[in-house]
Amino acid sequence: MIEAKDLTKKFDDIVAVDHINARIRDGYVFGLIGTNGAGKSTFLRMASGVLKPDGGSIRIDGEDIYENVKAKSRFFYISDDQYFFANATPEEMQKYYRILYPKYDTQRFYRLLESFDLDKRRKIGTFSKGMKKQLSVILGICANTDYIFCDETFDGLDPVMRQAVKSLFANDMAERNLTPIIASHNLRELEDICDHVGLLHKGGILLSKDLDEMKLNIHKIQCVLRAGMKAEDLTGLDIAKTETRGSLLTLTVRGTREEIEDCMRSHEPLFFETIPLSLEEIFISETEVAGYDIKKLIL
Amino acid sequence: MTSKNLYFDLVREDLKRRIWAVGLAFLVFFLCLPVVSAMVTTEAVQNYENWIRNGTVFTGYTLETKLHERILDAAHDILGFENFFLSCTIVVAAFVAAITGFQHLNSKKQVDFYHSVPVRREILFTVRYLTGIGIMLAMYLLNLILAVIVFAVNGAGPAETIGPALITLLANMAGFCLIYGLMTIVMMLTGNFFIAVLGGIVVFSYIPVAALMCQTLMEIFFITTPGHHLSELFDNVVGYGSPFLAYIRMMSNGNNLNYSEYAAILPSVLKMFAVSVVMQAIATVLYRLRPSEAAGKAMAFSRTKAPIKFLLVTPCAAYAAVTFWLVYYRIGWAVFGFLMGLVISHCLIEIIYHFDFRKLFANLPHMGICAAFALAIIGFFYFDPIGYDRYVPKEGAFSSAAVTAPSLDDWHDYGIARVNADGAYEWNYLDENNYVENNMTVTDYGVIAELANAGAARAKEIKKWKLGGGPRYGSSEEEGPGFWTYMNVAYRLRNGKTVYRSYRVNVTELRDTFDRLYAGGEYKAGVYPVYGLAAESVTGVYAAKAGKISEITTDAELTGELFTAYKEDLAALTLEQRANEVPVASLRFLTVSEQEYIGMMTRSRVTGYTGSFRLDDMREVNFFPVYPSFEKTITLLADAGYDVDERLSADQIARIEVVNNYPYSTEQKGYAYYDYETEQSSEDDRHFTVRNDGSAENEKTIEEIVALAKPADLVKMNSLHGWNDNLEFRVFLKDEEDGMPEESYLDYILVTREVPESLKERIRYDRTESSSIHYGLNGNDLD
Repeated sequence: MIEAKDLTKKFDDIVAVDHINARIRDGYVFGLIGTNGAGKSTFLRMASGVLKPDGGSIRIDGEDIYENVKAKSRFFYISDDQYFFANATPEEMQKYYRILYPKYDTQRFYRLLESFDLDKRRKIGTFSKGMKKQLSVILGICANTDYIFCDETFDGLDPVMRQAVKSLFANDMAERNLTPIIASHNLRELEDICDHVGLLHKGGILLSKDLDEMKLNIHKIQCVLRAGMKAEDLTGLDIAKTETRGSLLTLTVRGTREEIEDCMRSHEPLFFETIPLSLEEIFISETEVAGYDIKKLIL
Repeated sequence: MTSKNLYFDLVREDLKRRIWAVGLAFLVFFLCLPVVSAMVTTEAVQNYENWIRNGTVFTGYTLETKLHERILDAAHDILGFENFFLSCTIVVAAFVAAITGFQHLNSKKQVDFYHSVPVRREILFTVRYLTGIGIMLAMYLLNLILAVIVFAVNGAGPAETIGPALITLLANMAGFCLIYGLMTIVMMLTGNFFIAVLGGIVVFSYIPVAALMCQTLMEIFFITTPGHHLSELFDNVVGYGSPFLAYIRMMSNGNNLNYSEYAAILPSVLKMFAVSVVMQAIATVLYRLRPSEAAGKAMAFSRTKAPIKFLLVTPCAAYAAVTFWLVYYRIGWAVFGFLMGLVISHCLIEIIYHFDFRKLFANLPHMGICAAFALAIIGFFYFDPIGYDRYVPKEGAFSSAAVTAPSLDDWHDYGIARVNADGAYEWNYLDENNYVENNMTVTDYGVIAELANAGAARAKEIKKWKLGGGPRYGSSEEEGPGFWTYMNVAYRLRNGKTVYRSYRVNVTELRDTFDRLYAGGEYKAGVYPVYGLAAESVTGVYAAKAGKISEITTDAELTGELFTAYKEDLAALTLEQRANEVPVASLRFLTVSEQEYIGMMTRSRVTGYTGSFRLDDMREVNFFPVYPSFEKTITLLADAGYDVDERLSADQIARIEVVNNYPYSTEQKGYAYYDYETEQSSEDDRHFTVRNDGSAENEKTIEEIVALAKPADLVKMNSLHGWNDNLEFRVFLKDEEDGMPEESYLDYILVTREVPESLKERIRYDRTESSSIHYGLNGNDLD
């Protein structure tokens, strides 16, 4: 488990990460969401031992990461602009990483290169941005580390490749309990992959919750009430948001599905149905509770 | 994976990345060593073939021996310290290797890459650092072997070349490591290529420049600063204050060594390696501490910004103030210089630190601190709170002193012949000040204190005068009447320290004190090297006068008597006698080692020996004056058949060229330098020639000249007696006696204002103006 306690990092007068507390459980995908400058990259650079925290700590299973070879051998870091040696080929990069990561799976590397249609002897400098991202993921996943840190890795991947990468992660999570930590400014990129999401804003963490937990406790109800009834008359419901289109009301309501549906039935509407919320909608409601306008933060 | 395997795997990978450096280093060393070696050996062999073709013969050598000697010399030049291009390669390569080896630290992308992988930073650093050295060493060694093979193929076997070549390699690598180490530290401290280059320039020059600034300030403000000692001190600071200069100095020292002496450089090489190891350790620590976010910033460590700025701005402000003050000696200019130096340097550094011109006035309090310290530096030199110029040791602390007063005893070159490591004799010139400081032990505190107090009092006047309007500093009207001299004093203290000061004193005013100093044997024993000669080492006596050297005797008994008599006469000599007498001859007491040296020179000359000292130089060095009052000496010289009073007669003289330094008026122009004999204007309008053409008039003039003028070499051995520089006489002899080359002449000079009457009229010499009179101790006029 990766645990950050009061993690703080300043660059001169700018507080990039401000007393962040977070726990990243093994075997789950942790999504790190935030706008540019929110502190995602700084968090990941501290998590990967590149930067030394100015305050607090970040540890893997209780061990500090900075200048700890043992801890650092447990993850592979893919930065937002991954470095490749000048004139290097995928094969040469793989040889370098193989020295550093003892469990490096060379055979799988070549297999994946082939399946992603990347030439092992072509100079990486001639690759497109997306191809470089694919190569980074392949190099990282074949390192067979417990964690893989991806900073904006999905940015630049086409939907097919994004899905392929997600499949890779899913496979390794299932087979060897890989824990991907993915930073992105795009909520939609993480919607179908993350188990847990941390929302960063101005160096601080606004919320950190399991998606399932969030999904279980907030629902969207579409209903048509009896004549003369208004949304305010639906007592017993914790309504976060109300939208009205003619006689059709769309309510975002907190609570379990059973509780909400029982309550709705008790008010005898002409019609109601429960529909699933997108991650974006969940975040909107959650951050509104926290007093923020999510649209200004990440959308 | 063991860390050892990891290390070598990383080295292998690093080499792949720096294959360009391997190639470039190989190419440069290849050109500097084997290619040049092949070229010079080819030339030597071609010469050898020409010798055979032309039937050339070398005395004492076979052609094969001569060829071998040439090839061996070439090997020494190319594989040894003389290979200038190799030294240049080392210096450039050290800078390039450090910058390119750690340039990745200035890139965020690369820092993220290298610092996220599971390798300790120390390992990452060591791999990079040692690979840089390894590439250089391997390429140098490889090409050195190739060059040795080239020489071996041409007859200079490895046994003759490999040893010194390896010592040179060690010295070059020591220099490389030193420069590389410091530049690597610079790379650790900076986060940008441009700043790293600027930082390199600052770091590599800071101590030498600061030392030179300090020396200049001392020389300006501390009047009693001993120039020669200060220069020696600061030369060492400058020489060792930068790895670059230390390396150049070591190579220069090595260049002065014979091939067989190369091992003498090894202690310096080891010291350099030791220092470079310390630098590597510092660089390792800095690499570990260096924050990754420093990539792209000006300075890697925020904490270093203010101290570095302080170290640059403070001397800039202080030195700019003094520099502008020196132009007009006005406080306004000093203030202008101070503000300019302060503001420009501070603003420039702030702009660089922030990469933002708008930040030029950031951290103004720092500027204030720098200004305060700069003012403190100026104040320190200006007000002399430590009493540098007032220093006179207390009697209880005083042990002895050495005094040199150039106006009293301005010796000609002095030196000794020594045996070097090869068993050969070589000539070593001795610095007058060093000789005196090593040999003079004046223990009379009263004399020294009187001289020092007078010197300190004069220093106070000079400083006041200099700071008040400097430009006239040193002019004779400010000094007033009397015989002035600079005086260097080395105070030896009871605590073992030696303190040096330099004074300007009026000998006339301190005549009693100087008389006591001169009369005491301690002064003469220290200032006249003849007292340092052992009687048993003297093999013969030679006399010199007017350029003519005569052997007086090589008889041991007479030599001993003359040596003893001369020392006794010299011991009895007083300042008063010197003020009134002009030397009549000079004597040389030839030592065994000098005799050996001359013999070696004579033999070597045949074989093309080119030493720094030639036989002709024997005319200039180690001769001591004989004054008319040296009765014992003169008597013994007469017994040996040498008449000190003998002078040239007109019959011996072909012509006398009169050089007129006298300032002539407009109406005299065109007259004084008209050659009466040739009735043509001389090319040099200051020259006037009197030819011994048989005419009575010229013969009379020549007679008058030789009666009044004295040999300049003797006259100038005693600066306490005046002479007249208005006229110089170049005496050309009829017979080129003593092997004097054609067109060489003897210098004569007047020791009186009296000018030969017939000559005076012919050149319209007017003695009412005296522009070039050297005044003696006893007054402002000549006899």
